[in-house]
Amino acid sequence: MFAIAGTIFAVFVLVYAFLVASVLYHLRQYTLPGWTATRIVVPIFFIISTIFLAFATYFFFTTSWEQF
Amino acid sequence: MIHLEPNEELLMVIRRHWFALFRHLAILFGLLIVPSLFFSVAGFYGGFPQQVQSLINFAFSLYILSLTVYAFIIWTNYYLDVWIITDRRLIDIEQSMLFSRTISELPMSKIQNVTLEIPGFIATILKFGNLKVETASQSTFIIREAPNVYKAKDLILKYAHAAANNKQPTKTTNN
Repeated sequence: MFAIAGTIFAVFVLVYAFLVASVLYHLRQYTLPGWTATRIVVPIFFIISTIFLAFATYFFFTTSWEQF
Repeated sequence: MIHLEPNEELLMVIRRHWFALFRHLAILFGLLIVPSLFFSVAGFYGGFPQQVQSLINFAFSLYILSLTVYAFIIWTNYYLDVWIITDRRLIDIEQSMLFSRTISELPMSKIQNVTLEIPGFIATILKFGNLKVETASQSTFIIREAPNVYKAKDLILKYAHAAANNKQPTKTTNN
């Protein structure tokens, strides 16, 4: 069960990273000069993502997967 | 990327009114609050067994991450959707979703008609509306949920008339 859960978690992280990279590419490619909102929104997004990825990783390793 | 022609003047950049973004984010916020309330109430009544609680916390963390990245995508679509008014053309940049983008240009000289629509109570209170720009060939540009619609309408009409008469419009300055 740990292997299955680990695989699902890894796939989720990969898809998440792909979506984030896509969004950052779009912002970098299509933001016109003088548009500054990304300087606030992107750091906030990274902070929230880091916090909850850390939580997810912690709870993944504290879960007793063999019991399921 | 948008490149202005030599001597082309950028007059106005219009992005959808903040309410268009707020509407989507409010739904996501509701999706976040409902399970949070459920788990809070469950905790009040004794919670879940320890081995299950950790699994629930893990799943909930992934759920919040999913909502976060979706909110980021929604914001990016909102941020990259713009209408640009220059003294020579109207440019519609529409970011539909990721990897789906449409850019349309309408020369000022082709504009025949501009219609302003303020739909509903919220649009009236928050002062946003739809601007419909029509050409002689009956193609239509629609600027949806735009703030400052009256200013945008006046600008478009002023430069469209000037382009039709092949003249530069007079610019007024306030001293």
